Amino acid sequence: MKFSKDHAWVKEDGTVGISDFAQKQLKDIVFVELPEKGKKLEKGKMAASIESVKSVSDVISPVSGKVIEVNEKLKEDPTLINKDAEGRGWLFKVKIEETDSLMTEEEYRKRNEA
Amino acid sequence: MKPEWLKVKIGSGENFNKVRKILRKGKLHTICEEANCPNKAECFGNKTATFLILGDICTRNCGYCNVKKGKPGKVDKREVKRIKDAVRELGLKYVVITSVTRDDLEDGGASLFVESIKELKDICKVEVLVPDFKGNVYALKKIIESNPEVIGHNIEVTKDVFSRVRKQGDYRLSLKLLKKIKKISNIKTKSGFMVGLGENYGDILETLNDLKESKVDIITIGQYLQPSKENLKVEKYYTPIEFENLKRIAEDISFRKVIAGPFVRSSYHAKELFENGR
Repeated sequence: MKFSKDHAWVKEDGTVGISDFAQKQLKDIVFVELPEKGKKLEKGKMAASIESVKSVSDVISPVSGKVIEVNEKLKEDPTLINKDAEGRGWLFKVKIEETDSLMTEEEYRKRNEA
Repeated sequence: MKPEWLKVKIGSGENFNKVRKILRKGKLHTICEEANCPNKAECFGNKTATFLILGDICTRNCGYCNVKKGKPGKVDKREVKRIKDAVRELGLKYVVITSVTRDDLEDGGASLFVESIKELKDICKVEVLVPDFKGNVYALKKIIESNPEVIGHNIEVTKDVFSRVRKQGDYRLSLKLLKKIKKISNIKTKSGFMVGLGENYGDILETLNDLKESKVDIITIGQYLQPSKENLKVEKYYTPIEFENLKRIAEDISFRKVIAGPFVRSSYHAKELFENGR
């Protein structure tokens, strides 16, 4: 699992989500807008939006690639992200090209630890 | 989905993390974090924060507020020293100090405000944002005597909404407090309120006129955002244009300085507001 500075993670199989740190910052999530299947995402560009009770935040794609799957379960229960941001609360899956410039999990956790 | 103008960034970057580390190290609280302020990424990114003294537990129970409620612990007299260390480390030249409301303390915590002002005055300018001290004039006087640059006291919501969402507050008492500051000093005063809690333009105008009557210098108007599911729902999202209009309405009442916008909070850009409002 690798992380971007914008608090997104990506697994080797191309699954993307937001970090637990990000989830805590957003608090009660009420709605998620996911990209459509087949959409070509660009690294560093907006890929999804997450609405919390308080506000809205963009999810910045940590990788480039085509979306091959989205987490349909989030439509019914967006709080899955609050419950398990780095597991069942995944957002979408992309056919990844590279993840070279991303941080390792250790680097990311260390960066946000306070 | 909420309107586009309510998009916030999740903090990241060197400064953001540095501020958080300094706060943790000093065991300090900020209203930025306790209220989950939408400007946190921006302000921390600019290496600034609004310090919350007297702990992180409030004795009041306002429906719009995200700060923890309950029975606060003992007053931590070392808090001020640690704030000073943080201010030094952040290199702040202008600092806003606020607190939870401490109705459990005889002076409402005023003495710790006084100490903060005294301690910080030799390294930066200090603005305080104070609670109503339940109308304790003696407590307020102590703060006035320590002569901060600005004394803020938020009316928080319009008159009509006040009794509904601030059951332990008193609209008239807050106005009286603001007026008192001007009566016995030349210190600049500041007050702000949120909109989006069901008020109408008539209420806003009435509240602004009341604040003018209390001789308030600086006005801040921002959008109420529901901090968590347990808090009051938002009745209306004002557009940036509507905020421009509110600003103009307030300016027509001839306050010294007005700032209005969706994410405007009472300490937002406090330094700039102070400098430009002189």
